Amino acid sequence: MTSRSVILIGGPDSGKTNYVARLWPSFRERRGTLRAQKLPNDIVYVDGAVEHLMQGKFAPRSDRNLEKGRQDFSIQVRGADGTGHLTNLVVPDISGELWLNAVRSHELSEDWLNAMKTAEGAILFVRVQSEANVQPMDWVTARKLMKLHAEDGLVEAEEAHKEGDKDLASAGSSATAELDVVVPETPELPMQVVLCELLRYLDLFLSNRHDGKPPRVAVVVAAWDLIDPGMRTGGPMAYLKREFPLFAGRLSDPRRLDLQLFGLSIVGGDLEDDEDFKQKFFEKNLVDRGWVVVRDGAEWRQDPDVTLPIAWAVGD
Amino acid sequence: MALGECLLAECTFNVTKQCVRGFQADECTHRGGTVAGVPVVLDTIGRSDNSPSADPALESRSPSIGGSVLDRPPETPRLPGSGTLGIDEATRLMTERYTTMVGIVGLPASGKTACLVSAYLLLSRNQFTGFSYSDSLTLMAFEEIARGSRRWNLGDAPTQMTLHTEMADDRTAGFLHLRLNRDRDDRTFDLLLPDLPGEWSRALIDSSDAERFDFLKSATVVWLMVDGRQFADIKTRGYATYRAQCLVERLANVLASPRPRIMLVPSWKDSGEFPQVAYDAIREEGKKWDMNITLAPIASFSQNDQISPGEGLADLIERTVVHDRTAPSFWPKEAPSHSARSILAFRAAR
Repeated sequence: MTSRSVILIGGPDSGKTNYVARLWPSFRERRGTLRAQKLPNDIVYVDGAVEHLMQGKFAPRSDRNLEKGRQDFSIQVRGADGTGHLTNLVVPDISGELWLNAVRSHELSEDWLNAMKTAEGAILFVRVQSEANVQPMDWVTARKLMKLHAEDGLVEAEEAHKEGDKDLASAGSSATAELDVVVPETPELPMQVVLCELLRYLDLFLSNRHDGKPPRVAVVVAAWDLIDPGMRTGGPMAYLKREFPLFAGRLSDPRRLDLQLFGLSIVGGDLEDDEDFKQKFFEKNLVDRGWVVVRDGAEWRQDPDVTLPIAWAVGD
Repeated sequence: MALGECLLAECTFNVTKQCVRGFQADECTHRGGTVAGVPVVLDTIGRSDNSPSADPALESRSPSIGGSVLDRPPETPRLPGSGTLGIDEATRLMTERYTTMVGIVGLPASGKTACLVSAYLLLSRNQFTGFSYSDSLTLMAFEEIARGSRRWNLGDAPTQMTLHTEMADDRTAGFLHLRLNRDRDDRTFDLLLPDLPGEWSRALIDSSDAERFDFLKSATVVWLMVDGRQFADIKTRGYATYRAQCLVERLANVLASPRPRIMLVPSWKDSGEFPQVAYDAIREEGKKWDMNITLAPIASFSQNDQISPGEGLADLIERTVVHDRTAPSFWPKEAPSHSARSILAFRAAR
C-alpha cells in the first residue's frame, strides 16, 4: 500500500475544514470517485466538523493557536470508484491563520514545512464572499500611503500645501478631501497576494508524484453557490479574473505545478443567510447535498461527487 | 601556589589574558590558587566550583569559561521571500528567459516609485489596458512598496545593490520583476524594473558617480523620469530642463553603443501638458550624444477628473516591450562573390 499526502492550504475562512467535513460522509458511504477502505482509527476531528454540518451549521474556523492549529485526517482510500490502488491518504489541515502568518513573516515551523515537502498534491482554497478576502488597495488609500515615501514627489506636494504654496499644491480640494480617509497603519495583505504566495510555496516545496510527474494542485473556489448564475457559466477562472486578477494571472503560468480549477458547494446552498434553504436542508441526507463544478471540454458542468478535487489531486 | 583563573565576574582575563583592572597577571588579587593541585575555576555565576555550595546539576551543564551559557533557541525555517532581486538573480533570470530590462533613472521626487506602485495597482485591479498580470518574482516587494511599509532609510539611502536580503527593515536597492501577458496576441513579456533611490541619479549628475549604474549597459530601454510639475511651471521649467540635459549627458558616458531606446517620462500628467519646448531641448541634447529620445507622459496618480489614475502607463509599457528598430531582411538578396563560390568549384572538380 502506498502512502500519499495531499495538503489543504488556504487563508482563514476559506472552507478547508468544511470540505473535510463534507468529504467524510462520502468516504464513509463509499460514494464517489475516492472511497474509504475502512474507518480510520481516529475520527474525532472530522466527527466534530460533521456534527456542525449535520446540525445545519458550517464548522467554525479552525483553532488559531499556533500549537493546535494543525489537524491531520488520515484514511485508507481506493480511487477509480473504489477499484484503484489502496492508498493511505493523509490530509494535513493547517489553520488559515497560520498560512497567513507564514506569508507575512516568511516563517513556517519545521513540522508544517515537512508536511508540505512530503505532500504530492494540494488543494488550495479560496472562498467566495469571505470576510477574510482583503481587497487590493484603492487609489485614495494608496496615494495616502505613498505620501509616506520620501522621494516620490507626493510628500513635497503635501508640505507645500501646508506652507501655503498654491502652485505646487494645486491638487486643491480633492487632495484636502482625501485627508478625511482613515488609512490603517498596517494594511492587511490582499487575499490575491496571499494566494499567489501560497502557490509559490507549493511550487517550491511539493514533492513530485510517485510516478515522477509534477505535483497536482486543485484550486477550489468554495461557496460557488453564492455566485450569481450569469457569472457561473464562465466557470471559476472567470470569477478569479474578476475578483483576484493577480492570482488568476499566476494560475495561467503554472511553472512546475499541474493545476486544475474546481467550483465547490459543500451543501448546495447557504446555511447562514438563506432560511428557506436551511429548512429544506434537513429533508435530505448530508451525503446527497453539495456538488462541484468541473471542466468538461469547453464547458463547466455540475457534479454531485464532492470527492473529485481530492481524487484528482491524489491522481489515482 | 600557582595562580588559577580570575574570580572576578566582570573580568575577561580567563579568555583574553588581560586583566580589566590593569594588574600584572601574577599580581592580581582576584585570581584563585590551586587547591590540592586542582585549579580553582568558576561556574557561570562566578562561584568557585571547589566550594561546598557548588550545584552539581549546574556544574554538569556549565560550559567552559567564555563559552555559551544558553542553549541555542530552535530556529524556525525561513521561506524564500519574494523581495527585490539582486544583480546576480536578475542576471540569472535574463539568461533563462528573454527579459526586457528597463533602466529607470530620475532625480528624487520625479515619481519613480509612484510609477511602479501605479502599475502594480492597475494590474491588481485588472485595469491595465492591453496587459494582464502573469507572474512576479518580487510580488511582496511590490506590495510592501505600495503599502509604504518599507521606505528608503531617510538620509542614508542604500549605497549599492544588495543581495536578496530577507531580514532587511528598509528598502534595498534592487530589481522588481513583472511578467505581463499582452491581451491582443497572448504573448508574455518579462520586465525587470530597478527600484533605486533618486539620490543615485542626483549623485550621477552632481559628481559623475556612475559605477552603480553599470547595469544600464544591459538595459533595453531607459526611462528618464522627470517631475512634470516643474516643467508645467514656467518659473521652474528652465532649471528642470537644464538638470534633465545634464542627466542625458551623464547617461551618455554610462550607456553602451548602440544606445538603448531612451524615453522621457514626465510624471504628474494631471498637472498639465508637458511643454513642447522643453521636450525639444532635451531631445536635441540627446541627439548630440546619439540618443533618440521619445516622450511618454504618465499620471501615476491623478487629482483631477479629466485624467484617470495610471493614465499613460499602458502606452509606456507597450512602447517599452515593442522595439522600434526595423528588422533586417530575413533572407537578403545578394549576388554571391566569386570567392564565396570557390569551395563549391573545388568540390565539383574532385
